[in-house]
Amino acid sequence: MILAALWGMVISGMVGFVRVIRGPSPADRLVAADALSVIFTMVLVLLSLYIETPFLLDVALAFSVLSFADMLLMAKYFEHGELHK
Amino acid sequence: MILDVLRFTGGICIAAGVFFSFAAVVAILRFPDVFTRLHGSSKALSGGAILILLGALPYTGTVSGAMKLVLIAAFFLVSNPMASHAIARAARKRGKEENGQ
Amino acid sequence: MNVSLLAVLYLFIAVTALVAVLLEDLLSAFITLSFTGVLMATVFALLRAPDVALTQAIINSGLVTSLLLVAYSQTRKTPHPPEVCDECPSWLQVKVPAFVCSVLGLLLFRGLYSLAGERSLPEASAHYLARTLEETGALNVVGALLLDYRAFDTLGETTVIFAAVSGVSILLSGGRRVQSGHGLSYIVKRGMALLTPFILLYAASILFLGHLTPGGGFQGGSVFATVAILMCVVYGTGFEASRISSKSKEILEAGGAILFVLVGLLGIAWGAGFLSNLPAPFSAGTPGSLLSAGNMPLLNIAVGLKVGAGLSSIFYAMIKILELEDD
Repeated sequence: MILAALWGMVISGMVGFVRVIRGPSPADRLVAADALSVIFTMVLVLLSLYIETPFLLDVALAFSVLSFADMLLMAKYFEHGELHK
Repeated sequence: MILDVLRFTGGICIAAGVFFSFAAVVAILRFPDVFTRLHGSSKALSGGAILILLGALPYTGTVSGAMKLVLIAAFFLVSNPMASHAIARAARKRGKEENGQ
Repeated sequence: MNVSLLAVLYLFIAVTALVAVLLEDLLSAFITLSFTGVLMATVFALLRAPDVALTQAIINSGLVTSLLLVAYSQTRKTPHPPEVCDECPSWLQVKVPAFVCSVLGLLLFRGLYSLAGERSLPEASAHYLARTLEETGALNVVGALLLDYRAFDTLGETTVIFAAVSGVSILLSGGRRVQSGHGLSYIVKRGMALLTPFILLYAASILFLGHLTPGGGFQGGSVFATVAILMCVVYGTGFEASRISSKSKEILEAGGAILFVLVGLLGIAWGAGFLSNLPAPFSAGTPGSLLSAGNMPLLNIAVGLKVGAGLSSIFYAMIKILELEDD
């Protein structure tokens, strides 16, 4: 059950990566990267249930915090061309 | 017995969450413009992630694991719309610049 | 089942890295590279290594992206010359690296079967896994290895960070920082104001509980540095510069290093050896409580101070030089 959900999320991730390859502008790739980081946070949560390592939930929490920071950084760079404006 | 019922409900929630995530990925692939892609993916993924996190609650053995899941869901509910807003604003500003103000 | 998922993720990493190399626009390449880091963290998690996965997630998403973007925004964007550079023949530029990378990739791919299955541990690992709790009092074996068994190497790591920060500060000194208040939009500013206390609390929890859960000084310090970088990015340079001056960052960084060495010297003063934990007068406490594992909480705080202050100093030094070029 959890394994089927895991495979479903990984396959969604692989399909979503096509937009990173194809997207004509960096904004498309940013949208796809945002969605992919959420999908892989969920992959980490499901992994912690599947291989019964409860410490992976800490990793999932840290990853959700930091991928949010990552998206903000890249959106700022895309908008202004520099990070310190 | 009650744990089996809870786990079954959790399994249904996880399956629904995976379906919504796949719908979000389809939105990213098939919609025509960057704003429509952002709209579809952000909405569907917020719902799908919350469903997966709630459905995973009966599968964790400890109270601390369940509280970590609730924390992830709460942080995600606040932060993902903010990230999508930042990306949308950046895309609109760059679109206006490229089209000549 | 584990092995097939691992194999699929490995191939995905290879494809992602190839795409990142082949994309022409560098911002898109950075986006793809950060996604490669996400995948690597997932692979580490699948191989049951939560400490390594945590470190990979934190460093890749927070710090690599920001430092790469700042470094890239400093370069002049001259257009790419249309023809390939003719001093270096084309087979050396493309075919030899592709061959070397494929050979290495195939060798590493062979290793995945031995990593995913059950295997017998080497003698040192078996000793550490069995005896860590009674010899150090810590539950987190990786943290105990870093701060008790091999604490001298951690001192070397903090010296490396100190050298990097000094080098960057010396190279990029002499610029000034313009106070600009743009930042991101109002929604993001208010949202960050809501979230920042919780992120700081979470960073402190990674740091203080390093001897119990995956994490420790380095990871907690990196999250602190990421919050400092986010303050500059979201609120503009006019905000953060007035709150945490660079002088106090230098004091924090030096204070972390001094605390580390002082804790080590305390071991010598008791007659047990430099950086010794339980033989010196540090009590093991009850396993699982906050004040346990001897001097590991103190060393975690020292490393966290140093890493957090050092990495954010690097970022602010690199921003400072930008202003000088703008005139």
